[in-house]
Amino acid sequence: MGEDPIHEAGIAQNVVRIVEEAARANALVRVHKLTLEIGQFSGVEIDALEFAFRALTPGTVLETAEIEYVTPPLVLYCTQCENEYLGDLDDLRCPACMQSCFEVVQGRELAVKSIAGTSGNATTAAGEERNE
Amino acid sequence: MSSEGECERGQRRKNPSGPESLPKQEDIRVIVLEQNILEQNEWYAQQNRALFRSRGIHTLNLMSSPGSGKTTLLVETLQRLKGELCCAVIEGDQQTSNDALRIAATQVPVVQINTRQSCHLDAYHVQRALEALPLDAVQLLFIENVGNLICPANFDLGENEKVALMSVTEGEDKPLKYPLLFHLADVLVLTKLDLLPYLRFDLQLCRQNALQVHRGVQIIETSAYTPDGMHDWLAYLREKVRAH
Repeated sequence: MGEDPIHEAGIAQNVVRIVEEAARANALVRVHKLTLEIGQFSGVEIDALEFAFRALTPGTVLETAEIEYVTPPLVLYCTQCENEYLGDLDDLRCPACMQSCFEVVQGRELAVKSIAGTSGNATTAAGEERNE
Repeated sequence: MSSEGECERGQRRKNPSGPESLPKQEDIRVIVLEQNILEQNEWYAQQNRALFRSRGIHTLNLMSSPGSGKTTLLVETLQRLKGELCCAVIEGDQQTSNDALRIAATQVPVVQINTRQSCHLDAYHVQRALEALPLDAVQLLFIENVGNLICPANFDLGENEKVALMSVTEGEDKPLKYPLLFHLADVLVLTKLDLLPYLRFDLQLCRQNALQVHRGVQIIETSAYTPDGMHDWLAYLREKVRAH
C-alpha cells in the first residue's frame, strides 16, 4: 500500500491483488473480463484508473482482460425533505428544497463485482480453428 | 448520466494487446466477488480506531491543498496547548522532514511519513507511524495529511474527525470544486484570516459554498499569527478532548 503516484494507482493495485487472489483460489490462469463498480461520488476517475491498469496488468492474469466499469446512479437522501433524489455532481442540492443537507445513499461504491476467466486446461476456439 | 436508476455500463477497456485466442464460451467461468476495493485500508483503519479508543486518544485527520497553512496552524496550536493537553503529530509529506522539524521544535512527539510517490496517507502508513510514537499520555493526535484535496478523502485512517482546511488566499469555490472532501469533513477551518484586508476574498460566499456541499458543517475562522486568531479553534479542540 501507499506507493502510488495517483490514488487511482493504489486502487488499481488493490484490484490486481484481489483478482489475482480470486484467480488463484478458483484455479483460473487467465481472466478475460473484470467488472468493476465505481460510484460517481467515489473520488475515482475512470480514465486515471485505466491509465494505472495499463501500467500494472502486464505479466498478471489480467494482462489481456477486458475491463467493464459499472457506474450506478448517484442517489442522495435529503435530511430536510426526507426524500431520496438522483444527484448531479455539478449541483448536489435537493431539487425540492434547494438545500444540500444530503447523505450519500448510493455513489461511493468501489468494488470488484466479478471476474470471468478460464483454467489452465481450457481449449481455445481460435486454437481449434487453426487445427481445422 | 442515467436518470432512470439503471446502472450505466461505462467505458470498457478492450483487449489492449489486440485480438487474442478466445476461449470457448463453456470454458469461461464467472466468479462473483462483490469485494470492496478498499477493504485492506478499512481493515487497518479499524485497527487504528480500536487503538485510539482503547487509549482514549482523540484523532484529527487534517486535509487541505498544499500551502493552506496546516503546519503553521499546528505549530501555533501545539505551543498554545503546551502544558494543558498532551499532543502528538503524524506528518505526511511526499518528501522532506521539514514539517516534522518545525513540529519537533515545539517539543511535541512527531513522526514524519514520506509517502514518496503517493498522494495521500493510508491507514497502514498511520499504523506504522503509531508504532514509533510514545502514545502513553497522548490525548490529542493530529495527522497532517499530504497536501491534496482529492485523494485523502477516500482513505479512512481511523480518525475521530476529518478536518478540512482552506486559506483565504484560495478561491471561494474550493468546496464546490472538491465536493467529496468538503462533504466528508466534520469541520472546516479557514486560515490566514489576518490577510483578508489585502485580498478580494468573499468570506460570505465561501461559507455559502461550504454549506452547499455540507449543510451544517462547523466553520472555524483562524489566524495563526494574531493574538486572538486561534480562540475558536482551541476551544473546539479542548471541547473534543473533554468530551472524548
